[in-house]
Amino acid sequence: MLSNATRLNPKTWWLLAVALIIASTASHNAGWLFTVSLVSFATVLISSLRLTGEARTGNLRALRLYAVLAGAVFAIRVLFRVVFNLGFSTSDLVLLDLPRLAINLGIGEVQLLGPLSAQNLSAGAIDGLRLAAIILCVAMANIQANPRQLLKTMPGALFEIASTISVALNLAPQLIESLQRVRRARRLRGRSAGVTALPSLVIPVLEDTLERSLSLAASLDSRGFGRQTATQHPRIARVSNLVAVCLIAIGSYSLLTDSKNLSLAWGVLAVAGLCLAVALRLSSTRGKRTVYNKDAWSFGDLLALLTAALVVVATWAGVIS
Amino acid sequence: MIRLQNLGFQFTRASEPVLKRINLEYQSGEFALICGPTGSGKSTLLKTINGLAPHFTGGTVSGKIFIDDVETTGWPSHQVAEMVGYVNQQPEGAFVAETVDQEIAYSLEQLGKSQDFMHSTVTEVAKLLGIEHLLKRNLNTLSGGQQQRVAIAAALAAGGQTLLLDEPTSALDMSATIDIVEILVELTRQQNITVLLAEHRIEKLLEIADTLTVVHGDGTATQGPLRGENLDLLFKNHRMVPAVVEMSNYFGWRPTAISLADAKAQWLKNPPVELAPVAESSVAQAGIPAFELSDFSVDYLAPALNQCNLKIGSGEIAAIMGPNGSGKTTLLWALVGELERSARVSGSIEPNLGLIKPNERLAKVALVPQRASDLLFLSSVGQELEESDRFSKLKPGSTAKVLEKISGRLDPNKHPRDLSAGQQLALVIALQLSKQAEILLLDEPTRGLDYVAKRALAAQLIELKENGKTIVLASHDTEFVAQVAERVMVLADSKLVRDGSATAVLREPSLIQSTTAAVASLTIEFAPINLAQLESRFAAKHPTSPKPAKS
Repeated sequence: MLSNATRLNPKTWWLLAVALIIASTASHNAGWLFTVSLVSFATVLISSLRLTGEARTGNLRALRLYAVLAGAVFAIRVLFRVVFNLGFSTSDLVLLDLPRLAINLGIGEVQLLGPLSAQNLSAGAIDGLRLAAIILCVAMANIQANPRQLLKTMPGALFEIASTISVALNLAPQLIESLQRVRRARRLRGRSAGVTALPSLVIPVLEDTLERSLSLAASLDSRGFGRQTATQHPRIARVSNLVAVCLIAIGSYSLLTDSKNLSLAWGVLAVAGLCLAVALRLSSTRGKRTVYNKDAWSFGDLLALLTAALVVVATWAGVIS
Repeated sequence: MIRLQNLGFQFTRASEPVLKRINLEYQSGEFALICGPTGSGKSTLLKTINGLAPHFTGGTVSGKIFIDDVETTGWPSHQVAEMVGYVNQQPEGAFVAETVDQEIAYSLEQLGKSQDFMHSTVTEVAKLLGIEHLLKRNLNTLSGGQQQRVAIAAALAAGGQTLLLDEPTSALDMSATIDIVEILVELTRQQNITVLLAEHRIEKLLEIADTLTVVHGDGTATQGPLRGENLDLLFKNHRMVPAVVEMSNYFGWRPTAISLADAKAQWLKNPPVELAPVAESSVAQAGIPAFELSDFSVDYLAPALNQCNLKIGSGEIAAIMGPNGSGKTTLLWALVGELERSARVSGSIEPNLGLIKPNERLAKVALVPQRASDLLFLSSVGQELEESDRFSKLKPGSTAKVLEKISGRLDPNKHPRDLSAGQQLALVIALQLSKQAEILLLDEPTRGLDYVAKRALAAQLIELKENGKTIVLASHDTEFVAQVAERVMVLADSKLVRDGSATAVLREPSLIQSTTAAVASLTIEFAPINLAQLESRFAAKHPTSPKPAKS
């Protein structure tokens, strides 16, 4: 178990990941992209190895899954470059002269394979590496920051949504467990447990899930979930919510269509954001609720966030490219 | 303190109220046991107190409810949460958080308590229940008993002085049950907490509880202290009684004996009949064994069964006992040849049914798993029976005939989920036996059954045995095992540690329960002298009078 001193706030992990993703999206430098992938991977690996028991195996299993996904995406991206061979120019250095296949699909000719150039291969590799880096950044944030802990830091107004997600997270493994149990039970009645058995599997599993959900809901209720006090200024909250939604519609419409008035569009969106913040703030007052073991901001968080900011500024300034 | 005045409750579309004109009072620090048959309204009574009924279940409440002298009639459950903690029978289904400390802190979060207050309360409550060392653990890595402790801690954390428990031990084995009961007693004695515990299996609780409330099932309830003449009133005309009370009623003892110690004292004072010592009935091992295991081991990630050597004789009723997680279920599934693919198996098992296709296996052996309802998937009893005939290519009506033999006819239009737990079990046994399998395996068949249903099941099993079936059941219900089984095998830590006749094995408390709790000895020591045995022995001695004269 990591001590609280060395554990970063879940929000920090996500902000760090977002900064690295921004930088990776802008970058065409294989070295940088490789470094980002490696650092994200190593961060999770090292901190997981410091854990014990099921947390350790759980994290390592998740990391392996993400790593396999990143590798597969990389491979597919490179393979696409080779097979479809787009953007080949005669001045390129040809590594491997593959035969060109032309397939007539009736609506036009599709050309596959052909001479494989170094430029084309490296462009594919960089594209793939970028996607892999993004996947590993998400992996880092998702594994390091417990999603349930992050949900707890949501503003009070979104508490119901956060609870729903958190309950769903709890129910998912139970659903799999009851499906397995019912499948085994079905074999006891001498039936196959294949696809044709689906309807008869669905009924007991659904019944199980419904039963569990009801029992959970009863439990939440008897544990004090849903206690509310009156919202302060309910009318202001409602009006500013409505205004925010309208302004977001107007702002995004003009942002996407009218390229001349970009600054006005951004301005409208900024006002919309402000209204939304007021609405959320006011509706958050309706439940007097606290969070146990709320993650505090530490010096480590500050350092990590400064690094994240530095990365974004460097990308903006064109240092990372 | 809880006071109910003229309390009534009726579900929305029901023709009859579940509770009517209930007047009950529970003092601070009282351990109140609430019993009654399944479906009598015990749970509903608890739910009306904490507001789940009607706010969650629907229906209408009449009368008044006072908790600590505050009238809470009509309050929703989340408002009552501060005053009353509620624990239901399956803690794992009711957990709202991921780790133990988060779970305990949940209601404090909802009440908006400060960080410091939450920390000190969580630690304090955890200490009270002896789970301080588990605070950072993930809830689904705990044992059933530990989970139930966490559920109690979480219910107490909000600061209420009242604890409502709805069959909190029905999913636990004997040692975990005793553990939880002891904790509850401590809470009432030392923390002055009022405990209202609804159970239909009360043999372990009668000695401990201060008062007993019987919910009769017709909407009424009677309450009284668990001592003195009052007991006769409580248990009069009441079939929901444990074996000790039944025995006491049978011999007409006054006051009614509720514990083994009482029964022994009464027995010595006035021996009703001279009983010959129970003869060791020899385990039927002659003839062809139904199963023969030698050096049989099953490993998942950890060993689940370790080097088991056993024979199960044809035509016997054998029980597999032992604490939760000792390998009982694995053994049953191994016998039908349906172990999970990840299992590593060594040693030999004869016959190895894993080599046969599932549908052919049904003609040889039938297993009823712990949740029998998993096997039901159609929308009426009739459809289930017809589908079974069609699938097994039997004459129409064959499965229905099997069912009739086991439990009598069931309404074919009824939805299987609307049957009582006992009827559901009978239906599943019939479906599984439709192909006339010679061997019936049952995993925890008495879970969720009340005394009446248990007695019916015992009679059904004995009847099946007399028709030549071999029956193997895994159970931690000692009383039930004593009633039906001739042979008992005890598993501990995935090893077979004892195998012998039921009368011999059940008299060894150390094997089934190592703690010396008096409650354990009640069931274990008393159970072999079940009523059926007594009656037959008595009849043998006094052929003319079927019942002893009551003084």
